[in-house]
Order: sequence, then structure tokens, then C-alpha cells
Amino acid sequence: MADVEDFDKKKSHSQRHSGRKAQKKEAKNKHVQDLTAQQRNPKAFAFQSVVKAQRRFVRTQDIKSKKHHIPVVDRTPVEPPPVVVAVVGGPKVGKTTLLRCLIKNYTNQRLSDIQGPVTIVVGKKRRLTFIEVNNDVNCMIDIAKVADIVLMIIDATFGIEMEVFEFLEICRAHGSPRVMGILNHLDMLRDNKSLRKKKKALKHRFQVELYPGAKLFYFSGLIREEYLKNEIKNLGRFISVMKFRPLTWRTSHPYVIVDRYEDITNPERIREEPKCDRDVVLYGYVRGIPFQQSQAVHIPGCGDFKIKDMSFLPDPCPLPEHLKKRSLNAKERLTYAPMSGVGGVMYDKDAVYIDLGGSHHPNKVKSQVKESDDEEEGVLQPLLDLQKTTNEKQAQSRIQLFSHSKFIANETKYANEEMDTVEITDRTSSEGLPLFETVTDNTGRVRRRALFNDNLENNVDELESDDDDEDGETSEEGEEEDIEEEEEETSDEEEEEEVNDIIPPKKKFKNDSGVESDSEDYDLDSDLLDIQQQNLALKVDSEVKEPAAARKIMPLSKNKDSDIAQKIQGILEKINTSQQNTKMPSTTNKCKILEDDDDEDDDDDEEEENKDKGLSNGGKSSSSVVQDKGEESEGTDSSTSDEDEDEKGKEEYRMEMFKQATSNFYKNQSTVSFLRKYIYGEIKEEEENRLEEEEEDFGGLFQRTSKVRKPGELYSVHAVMDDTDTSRYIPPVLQEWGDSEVRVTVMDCFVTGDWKDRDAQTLLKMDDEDNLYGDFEDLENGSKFSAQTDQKQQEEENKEGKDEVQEPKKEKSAKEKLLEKKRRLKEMFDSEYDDKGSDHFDNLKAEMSQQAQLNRAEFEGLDDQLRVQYEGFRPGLYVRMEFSNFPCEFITNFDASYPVIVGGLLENETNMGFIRVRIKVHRWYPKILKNRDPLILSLGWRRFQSPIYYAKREDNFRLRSLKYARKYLHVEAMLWGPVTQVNTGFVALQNITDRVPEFRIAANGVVLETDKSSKIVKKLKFIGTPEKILKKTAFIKDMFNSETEVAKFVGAKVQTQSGIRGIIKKFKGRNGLYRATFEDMIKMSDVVVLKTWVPLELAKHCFPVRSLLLPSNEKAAWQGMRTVAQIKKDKGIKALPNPDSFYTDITSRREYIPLPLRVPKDLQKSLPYHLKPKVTPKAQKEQRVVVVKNPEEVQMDTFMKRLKVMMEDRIEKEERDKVKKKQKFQKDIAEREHMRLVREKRKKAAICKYKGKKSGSKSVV
Amino acid sequence: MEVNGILTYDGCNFLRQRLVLSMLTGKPVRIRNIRAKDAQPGLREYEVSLIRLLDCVSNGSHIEVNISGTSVLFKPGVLLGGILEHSCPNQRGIGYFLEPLFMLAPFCKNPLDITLKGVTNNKIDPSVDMIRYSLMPVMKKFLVTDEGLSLKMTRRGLPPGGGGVVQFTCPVRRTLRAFQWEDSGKVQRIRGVVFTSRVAPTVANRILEAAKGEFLNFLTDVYFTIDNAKGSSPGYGLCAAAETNKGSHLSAEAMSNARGEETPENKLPEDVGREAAWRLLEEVYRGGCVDSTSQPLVLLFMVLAPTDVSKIVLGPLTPYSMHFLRHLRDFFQTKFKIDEHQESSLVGEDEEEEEEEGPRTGASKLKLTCVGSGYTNISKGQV
Repeated sequence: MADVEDFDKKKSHSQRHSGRKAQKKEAKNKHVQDLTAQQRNPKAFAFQSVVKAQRRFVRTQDIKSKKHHIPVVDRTPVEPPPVVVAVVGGPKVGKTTLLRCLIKNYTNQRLSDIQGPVTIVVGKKRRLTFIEVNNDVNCMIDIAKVADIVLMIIDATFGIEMEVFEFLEICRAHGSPRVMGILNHLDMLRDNKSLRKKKKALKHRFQVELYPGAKLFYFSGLIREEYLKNEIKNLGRFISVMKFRPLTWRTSHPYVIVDRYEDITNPERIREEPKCDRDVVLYGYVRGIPFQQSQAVHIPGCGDFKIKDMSFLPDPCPLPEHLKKRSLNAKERLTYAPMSGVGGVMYDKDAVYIDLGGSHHPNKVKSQVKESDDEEEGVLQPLLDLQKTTNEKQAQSRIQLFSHSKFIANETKYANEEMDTVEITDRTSSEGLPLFETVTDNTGRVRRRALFNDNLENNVDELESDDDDEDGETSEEGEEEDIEEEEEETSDEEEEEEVNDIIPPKKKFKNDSGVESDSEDYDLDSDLLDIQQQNLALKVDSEVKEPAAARKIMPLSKNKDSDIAQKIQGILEKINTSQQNTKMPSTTNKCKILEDDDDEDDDDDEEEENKDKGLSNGGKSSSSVVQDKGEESEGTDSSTSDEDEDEKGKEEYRMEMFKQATSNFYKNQSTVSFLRKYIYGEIKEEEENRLEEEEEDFGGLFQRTSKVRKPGELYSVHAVMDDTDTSRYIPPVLQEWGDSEVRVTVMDCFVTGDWKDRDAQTLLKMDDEDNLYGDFEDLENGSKFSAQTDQKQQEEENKEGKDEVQEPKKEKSAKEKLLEKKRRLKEMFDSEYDDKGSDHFDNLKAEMSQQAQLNRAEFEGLDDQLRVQYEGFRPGLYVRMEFSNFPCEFITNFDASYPVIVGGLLENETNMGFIRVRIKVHRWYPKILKNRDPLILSLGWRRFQSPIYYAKREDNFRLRSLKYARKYLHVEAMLWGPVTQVNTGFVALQNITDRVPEFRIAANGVVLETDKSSKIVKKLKFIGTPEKILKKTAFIKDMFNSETEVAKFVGAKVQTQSGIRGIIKKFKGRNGLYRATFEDMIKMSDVVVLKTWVPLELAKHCFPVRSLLLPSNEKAAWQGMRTVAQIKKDKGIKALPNPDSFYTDITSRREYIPLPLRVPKDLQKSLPYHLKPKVTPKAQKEQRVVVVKNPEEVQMDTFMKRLKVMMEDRIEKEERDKVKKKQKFQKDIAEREHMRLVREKRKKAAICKYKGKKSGSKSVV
Repeated sequence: MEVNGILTYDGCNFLRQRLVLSMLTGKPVRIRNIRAKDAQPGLREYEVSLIRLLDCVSNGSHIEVNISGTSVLFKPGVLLGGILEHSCPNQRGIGYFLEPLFMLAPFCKNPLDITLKGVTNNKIDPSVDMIRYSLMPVMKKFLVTDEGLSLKMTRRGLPPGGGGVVQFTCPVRRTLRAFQWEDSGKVQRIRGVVFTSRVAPTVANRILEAAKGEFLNFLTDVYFTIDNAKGSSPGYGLCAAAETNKGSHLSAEAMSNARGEETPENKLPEDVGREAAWRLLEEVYRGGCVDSTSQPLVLLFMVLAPTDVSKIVLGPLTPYSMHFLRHLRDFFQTKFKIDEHQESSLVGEDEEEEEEEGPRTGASKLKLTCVGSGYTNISKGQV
């Protein structure tokens, strides 16, 4: 057949597309564009009705405005964290397969065993973190809080599972992520029709649950254990372009999805006690808002913690840099999934991972951190400390006397063995706090000292002069005690020194680490140079080695050895610091320059100085410089003499120095770096030092305290601690504002002064200069200025006024000016005629975008290390969070299929309180929720179990307690729990155990308020009986038990059952008897009722669900508190019914007979006529005349009676006959009728027979 | 410093800052060694009164004071607000109590309406007049509308007798807005109030004359009102405020010595006037968008804003604000970025020129930048 057809086929005509023929044809039937109906007949489309047009317009506007959301500031960072994609579905629907396929789709790699989150770079600007969600409710809840996209897999053969509904419900409460449905196992349906039907039904159901138009993907089947490639590809595309609306909770809280964890507990400790609390490090990307250092966090399923240390690491899965092409190459498609064991095991070659390197090796962990932050010391220190003995720690400890100088080793301390044990842990808190060290003395008090790199360098230039001092070192142990005291003063001194050279540096301080005889003055710098010269060989290596050696020697040798060791160590320390110092000489110079400026300034500056001095000294003049010197020398002298004097001298000196320091402090306010340091770093420690000092005083010297407490001294030692607390700032010495020179300094602060942009003036001046000096070139603009300026133009410029932006006026500037003018005119025009800005919504939007821009720009250029200090760990950073005292179960029962989320808590959210919520029982939940039964709530980050109390808001705003939560209605409820923001949604469950037949979500709702006391009240009736009645007063008993009880209710309203109202007056006697007055006399049989409302006492019970800590078989079986019903069921308790509550027949009910209404006579009188009861005389009944019959009449009567009877009998008989006759007649008729019918029938039959015969014969024919 | 998870401080100074921040953040705070070495150790009457007031404003606060009164543990509750009345001891002015209330009031559950009785003007604390001139505009700026915001002085009371009555009302807000305030503008008018109590009415005129004389060197728009009050104690003073064209207010005040006060010399009315004027000029010299009294309030509200960047230009920081910054770091972990503020017009110019002319806009200003902590009023509920 086919051959035949082929043979038959004719060659079809092929049209010409080009050439002459084609052209001709085209010319012949040229295509003419049809006019549209509107164009042809514009009148038909004009406004038919103005009203309609208006309505149409209004409608479109309505629709438009409905789409508006309240604009929010877009806080997404430049480099956002990976998008979280959660794969959700019932068991065995193909979640893992999908995940594997997606990963393969993006990275061309096949992960065999996927555990925990997997992060992938999928595009130039997008990374994804995939998480598979198992069917534990706990897990679903946690994921719903963090997922951005949810891939919801539905088994088409089975239909939508409960888990899916539950998950959607949870999502709804916590802010819905994007949900994409995926219909799976479609290949199982053989029949095409049923497939279509199923698809349609499921899609419909899915859209009902989510929103109309929700996207549902169809996976048509598996090929070699994988979904079809192009289906996955499509899904992948959808995922990678999806956009999200920010959710309130997530944009107000920071959080981290942990993709890696380490247990850094000392293995020795674990060996000793396997169940000891652990130190754990968690890693992950920051999401939401910036994380603060040491923020309180909640780890759902684990509990509340405080971050011990936080630092950011280089991104393990970075976005590609400077990408020009469209797609990523294989190298840039990174995968990061430490929990799946991807790191370093399987895909070593083609991707970059953070090497786990043996998770229990602390040094290794640390070293990574170290890479990220540059500080040399510090990071390693706390860990090393763990393995050191106290002596070693001591040896290691260092003190810095001047913030700019080197450290002094702590040897001096243990020369005197009773001294404080000082352990120093140098650490950089990477968060942004300055480098600081922690010192612990023997009282256990921890003191911190901030170290500043930028100050360390200061005295480099002074070194040369001081080197000779070093030779004379001899250690005096007696002096060492004072070091601590002096530290602060000296630090003050040095500050002052650094900024203005009041005291010549050479004279000032000479001392060495506990070496110099002068206790006052320590000059570290003196040694420094020597050391530098001599010990060039001792470099970094020696630093490490030598102190260790020294440390070892220390405890053994008491005196001599220790001295030597001290020296050595001191030297080493110095080298260390000097290295730092040498780095930055530039800042010192800067300081100097600043000073110079100050000096050069005129009187006003001087005065300022005076003022500042005055702050501390109470008007002391600036001549103190000289004094200081004198005193200083005094100090040094005294030190040589006996101790008391020495002490005294020190005292004075100290005070002097302090004053100076404070005075200088105010001067230095202008230098911002100082201010920063003062506020955020040093002074804290200074303060503490002061405290320390004080304490010391308490020990030995009382006189100082009193001395310090001089009334006039504002900034004395105690100033900070116990000074008057006032915000008012009174400049201690006022500038002489009467003086015109002083006045000039603020001239421009007034409207009468020069305006800020004094371009006109400056321009004028510039021009003058131009004329003076001839041509010059503006380096900024690069434009040349020539001497011959147009005078006219200048004048014009001046006239132009103050707003004009200054610009060089030259030949070409004329053009620019014109442009400028045009631009301004246009702006003016726009502002006048465009209503663009007038819309409130647009304004708001513009404001928000401006703010967003500022947010991005503000810290843009800063170094990350510094940036983190100001804005916290911004979202997108990969951070390492260290926690201590973590429950060991977290480690031992760790299961990667359960997500670990670190949710940051805001202020207040760590507190507990009563939460008032609006709650609604879920329509699918089969049970009734009883008052006080515990519910497991998922609120905020947390999951906890708490008894809940339902209440109804009555019309007068009273919250009345309910016994059961109402179905289908919102009721209010209160519970004790963590304080949470208003409007936060929650879901409640009664049971989180796996495999329950019914729907598990019991209720959902929203937080309305938090408070510290409950507001729910319950109705209460007190019942009493009268004991004695005196007219309207009665004594009521049995209501209360004591007079105090009565006293609480004095003035309360009472009522009898009959409705007589009364008021409680006063107690009578001690047994709760009281006097009450009523509006009428009550009876002894009355019952007196007092109706009140009592506040309900709510149980303060809240237990977090610690699902992460449970062993894996119990994770999904946790129950916590049982409900009352459950307990009863378990214990076999059955409630006995109250016999009064039985339904019985009502046996004796008295009939109600109302008495006739009686109106009193007096009342009758006063009534209006028409209401008065009318007195109508009763009409007399007609009396019948008694008839007395005579015998004749009697006879007649009887005769008549008989006749009557007879008559009646006859009539009856006739009647009977008549009936009989009638019956007979009817029977007759019926018979006849019957006969007729029979006849007719017969006749009919005959006819039919006949006809039949006839027709029969016919048919035969 | 943190001890057992509780922020711990030493000494009674900055008690208000600590308690207020504690209330706002809900973090408990312990204050030890309150005047431990003093002849009269422990809390003073006015401090106790302050704690009482805070307890009154809140619900569920827990306060523990040791026997000697040298140590206080404060566990804050929920800020409640409502209609309250409080009588303040005469040692400190009402300003001492008002300032914390200004910080707390917008974050209460109910709008605050409090009547304070005590000393309205004294030498230690910012007077009620000054608070009205300086804090109220700041408050207005943050609350956006001034509906329900008022500070009324129904009676003036000077130390030592006191007897003043002040009513403060404030609406509540759930969140604040981040803001940038970098231009303080130029002073365009000076306003103020001269108050006298139980002295000859001419005293007021003498003060006025003296002060006005000082200001007229700069500005002609100077106007003072006179308040001749009847009170229990005699005294007089002047509170002046400078308003700029950009809406910032700078204020300063001076007053006579109180009766019974030990001071070297008694002040003449002219001296008081001049002193107040000079102090205001000093304040203008310091400059900034807000004056030194409102610095802490502004800084606090910047921190309480959403997680956006806020900026402000201030004059030199007062010690009180510096400590406040530090406390803000302790409680909110928010650190301010402190920069030198360079006025935009000066940036482009040559240095030599500046030197020639010298800055005529007072002291160098600071620009403080911070990222808000995303604070929300946790106590304000819904029906």
C-alpha cells in the first residue's frame, strides 16, 4: 500500500519567495493593514456614559491600590546568604531522589548520601541550601520557620497526605515561604484518563490549600532511578529565579542554619565524665538581620544559649567573582555539605571546601579562625591556656602600663607569693571589641584590659634618648605592689603625653618591668632600643621558645633565678610589642600635627583649654605644667626616702596626674580616635582599676579615701562610681563671652552670620587670589584658571546668590551655567506640575529606598573586621559560633536529618511572661481543647509545652474564663511562656508523636499582648443566709469565714434570690458574720448571693521541647505533660456524674394560679379615670318561676313523653328501612352494571376474534 | 561586666541610665557598692523614690535591696504606663525623674499620664523648663506627631521647699523610625523664660535685661517670658533656648542660689542672666543637632530604631552621654561609629583659607552613626 501511495504522490507547487515572480505577485496583492474597529468608527468607542467611565476608572484604581503592600526597607545585603530550599513530603514519596537529581542538575555531581544541608552555587548571584525534611512534626516546624522555598512532593497514586496539610498549616502560622508542589509517581497510573482526572483533582485541592494559581509540577516517572532530565531542569530554573517577599519574623530576627558543628570540649574532660557539658562550635550563614556578638539565641529543640564567641570565616561556598559570561563553569559550581561528608572526601579535586581536618583538634579549628583575623596573639590563647599550669599562665601574663608601650611581664607578681594569681587570656574578640586581655586575680575577680594596636607605637621617637637607663636596672620587689595602682595613672599620663607635650618625654618616666627603683615612673621604652639592638637574633622563634623556658625556671628558683627570668621575659615581651610598635609611626605624627595646630590657634583655643582644665581642677589654671614637673620630681625624690613619705608623694602625684589626665581628656575630645577608645575601650578598665585601688585603700590607707572625696572635685577617683547622677552638663569655666574675640567663634552659628555655603564670598576671594597670583590649576577638577577673569561674570556670580553651587567660571563655564540653569528650571517645573512626589505611598517608598541605599553604602568601604563591630555579623557572612555548656546529648544524639537552627533573640525575648493570644481550634482537629490542658506551641523560634487558659472577651472587655475552646470561633487565651512580639503567629499541637491517625495541628493563632500578670477572671458566687433581720438591715452568715474576708468585700452588692438588692456594710464578730442593708425587708428564708469575679491564677509552667537532645527513637515520641483526659484514661479514672445533673421526670409541679389583682384604695383614688377600676353593679340573674303542675298536667306530660318516645322509635325504624332499601337498590344497580360489562366484553371479544380472523387471513396473503 | 549572666555595675552614678536600659531591654541589672565608703552608705531617698517610680510605671518588676542599701538587684517587668502620680523628694529636681520617663514613655503599654510633684528648678538637674525646650522637640521628632504629648508645669517649685507640680503625657509607639539628622541649621531665634518666686518682680526685668544684652550681639529675635510665681521658696533664674532654622533646639539655664545653700557669694540677678546667656552661647559653641541635655535621649532612640542606619551630628559629647554610649553597648550591643563631622561646604576648600579665617561655627562636631537594634515595643498589645 505504502508503495502505491508514494507512487501516486504528485510534486506539490512551491511558491516563489524571491525573484521577479514573487515581486510581481507582491505588487499585485499588496497587503493593506486593516483598520481596527475603533479606528474605523471612533465615535462608537467614545464615552457612552460618564458614570460608567468613572466607575471603570475607580475599579481599576481599586484593583491597583489593592496590590500595594506597605513598603518596607529592603535590607537584603549585597551578597545574600544562600536561599533555603526545603524538600517536604510524606515518607517514601521520593524526596531524596528529587534532592539528588536537583543537585546533579546544578553541579553535575551525584551525591550518594545526603545528610544535613547542602549548599550549592547555582548562578552568578544565587546560592541554594537544600534541606530534606523528614516527617517529624518538630522538624517540619523548624524548617517552616527558615525555608524560603518549599518543594512539596505529593504522591499522585496516594493523594495529598496529612503531612502536607500539616506542613502548610505550620507555614501559614509562621509566615508562608514560597511553596511549589510536585506531583510524583504519575507513571504508576496506567490509564490516561484517570491520570488526567487525578492531576486535575490534585491540582484543584492544592490550589485550594495554597492560593489560586499555585504552581504544581508533574514528574512523569523515573529513568534509572532519576527523574526526567528536562523536568528537573525546568524545576531548577524555577527555583533559581524565584523572588520572595520578606517575612516579618525573619526580617526582625537573625538566624543561622547550622551546616557544620564541632565539639571542642577538652577530650580529657569527656574521658573523665562522658556526660559533662560540652563546648560546641556551630557554623553557618547568617540570615535575617545582623547577628550581634554575644547575642542571646534559641536553638529550637535544644534551648536558650548565649553566644560565647563569634567570628566570621571566609565563605566556604563563595559566589563567583567578576563574572562576565552568562553561565558558571564547573569550577565555580561549588558544593558545600560538611554533614554529608562531601568536604574533602569525594570531591576534593574540583571544589574548594573548608577542610574538617579532624573535628576534635582544637588548634586546627582555631587556626582557621586565625587566618581570618589578623591578630597574631589572642585567638589561640584561650585554648592553649587550657593545657597550661597556673605558673605558666602567670609567666605568660603581661601588663601594659601605657597603652602605647610594651607589655610588662608579670614576674613581679609571683616574687611575692601571696600576690594575686594573674592569668591572662589575650583574646581578640573578633566581633569588633578591641583586642583585650583578661586578668584574673586571686579573689577571682576578672578584669579586662583593652589593648589598642594603634596606640602601641607612640613613643618610638623617644626611644633613642632613654636607652642608657636600662643598665641600671635592679629589681626591687617591694615596689611591685604598686604597679597596679600606677598603671592607670600612668596610662593617663601617657595619653596626655601623646597628645600634647606638656611634659617633656625624656624626663618623664623611667622604669622597667618591675626593675626601676622609681616606683612612680616606668619607662619601658628605655629597654626597647637596647633589646632591639642586641637581640636582633631573637625573633619570633625565640619569642615562642624562651618564655616557656623562663616559665619552667620560675617556680623553682625563688630570688635570683626569678629575677633573671623576669628580665628575660620582660625583654621578650618588649620585642613583641616593639614589633607592633614599629608598624605605625604615622599616627603619632598625626597626633603631633594636631597638637601643633592647637598651639597655633589663637586665644579662643587657649581659653578652651582653660575651660577643659577647669573641668577637673575647678578653675585651676593651665600653669599646672610647671607644677607637674615639680611634683614629679618630688615624687621621684620621695621614692628614695622612706616608704611613708614615698606613699604620700605618690598620693599627690597621683592626684595631680589624674587631674591632668581628665583635663586633657576633654581637650582630646576632638580627636575622634581618642573618643572611640575612651568610650568603647579603655576607660572601662580604668574604672575597674580605680575600684581596685579603692579596695586596696580599704585594706591599708584610710586617709586617701577621705582626701579624694573633696566636695569640689568633680572628676575624682570616685567621680565615675558614686558621683551625682545628672545629665545636665555645666561647663565648669565659662568662656568670656563678653569678649568680642570669643564671640567671633560662634558668629556663623547664627542666621545673622555667614551662611554655610559661603561660595559667593569664597569665590570672590579666590578670584582675588587669581588676580594676585595669576594662573593656577584646580587639582580637583583639573580645570585651568587663568589670570584674566571676566569681571562681569564674577559679579553675576555674586548676584546669583547663595544656593549656587560653586563652579569655576571660565569660558566654558558659561555653557555649564546655562545647563545648570536649565536643569534648575526643569526641577522647579517638575516640582510644580508633577504630582509624582505628592502621593503618600510613593513618598514612603522613596524614603524606604533611600534608607536602603544608605544602609548599603554606609559601611561599604570598611574592613569586615571593623564593619562587624558596627553593624554586627550581617546576613550572608559565614560565621562560627562558639557555645559553652552545651548539653552533651546534643552531640551524642546528633542526627543530621534534624535541622539545627540558631535563632537570635532580641532584647526582652529571653524573658518569660504571660502571653495573651487569639486562638482558633483547627477545623480539622477532632478533639475538644479543654481549659488548662497543656498544648505544645510553636511560637517564634521556640517549641514549648505550656498549659493554656481559654477566655472570652465580653462586651465590657472583661476576659471571662472558658472551660473549653470554642470550635469555629476565635477565643482568647493566656499562657505562661517566652515574651514574643505582638502579631507573631503560632501553631499549637497536643501531640507531636508520630503516626497518629488524626490531624495533628490542634489550633493556630496570633500573639496579642504580653504581660506579667493574668487578666482572665472567673465568675464566683458567694451564698449566705440571714441570721437576723431588723427591718431593712440584716446580718448574713455563712458567706465568709473571717472578718478580713468581709473587709475585702465591704461595699459590694448583694442580692437575694427574689431580687432584693443590698450592700455589705461591715463585719460583725469574728466568724465572717456581716451586716448588710437591703432595699426592702428580706425574709429568713431568703438566700443572699454575692456575685464577683476572681482573677484566675495561671500555672507558670513552660517546658521547651528538647527534641534535638532525645535519642533518635524517642525524638518523635515525646509527650511531656499529659492532658487531664489522657491521665484519666491511663489511670482508668472515670468521672462520677453528679446526681443533681441527671435528667429526671418532673414529678410535682404546682400549678400557678395568679391571684386577682388588687389595687389599693389610695392608689385607686389617684389613678386617672380611664385606669380606675370601674365599679359596675352586677346584673341580677333572671329568676325562673317555679312551675307546679297539677295531676292532669302531669298526666298530659307523661303522655306527651310517651308519644315522643314512640315517635322517635318509629323514625328510627324508618331510617333503618330506608338504609336497607338503599343498599338493596345499589346492589341491584351494581349487578346490572356488571352484567353489562360482561356482555360488552363478550361482544368485544367476538369482534376482536372476527377482526383477528380477518386480518390473519390478510397477513397470510 | 557580667556576673552570672546579670549585668553588674559598681557605684550609684548613672543609676538612671542603667535602670532605664534594663527596663527597655528586660535584662536584669545589679548595682553594687553604692556609696560603700561613704559616711552615709547606700541609696539616697531620691534614688529610692526613682526606683519606686519605675516600679510604678511597670508591672512585675522585681527589686532587691540589701540591708545597707549598697546593692540593688533590679529585674524589670513590663512597662505599663497609665495615669500615675508621684511625689519626688526635694533633694533632686523633677528633671531627675522626668528624664528616665522620657526614655520609657513611648514604650509603655498604655499612654503615660503622670503628675510629678517636687522641685521644678534646681542647680543639679535640668529644670522642667529646660526639658521642655530641649527634650520635647526631640521627642516630637521621634513620635512624628505631637498628639498626646505634653509637658505642663502647673506650679513652679524651687528648692528647698519644692511644691511644684508638673504633668507629663506621652503616647505610645510600637516602633520608631531610623533617621538622619546632619544639619543643625543656624540659630534664628532665642526664646526663654525668666522665673522668679517670692522676690520683687523687678528682679525678673533685671535678669532679662542682662541676658538680652548678651544675645543682641548676635540676633535681634530674642524674646523672654516672665513667670512671677508664688511658691514656698524664694529664687529666680533664667532658662533660654536657641532655635535653629532646621528645627534643632539648644538650651541652657542658670538660677540663683537656693536659700540655705552654702556658696561663696550670692548672685545678683544680672549675674544670673549673664550666666544663663553665656551658657547658652557655650551650648551654641558646642553646637550639634541637639544640645548636651538631649544627647542621651537621641542616642537611645537611634539605637531603638529598626535595623537601619541612623546618623546624627552632635557637639562634643558630655561625660554623661559617653557613659550612656557605653551602657548602650552593654545592653544593646550596639556600637556607634564616631567620626569627625565635616561641613559639606568646607570640604572642597583649601586648608590655608580655613586657617586664615578660623572656624566660626564653634567647636568641632561629631558625627555618630549606628545601626538600630530593631527594637519593638513588646508591651504594647492589641485588643
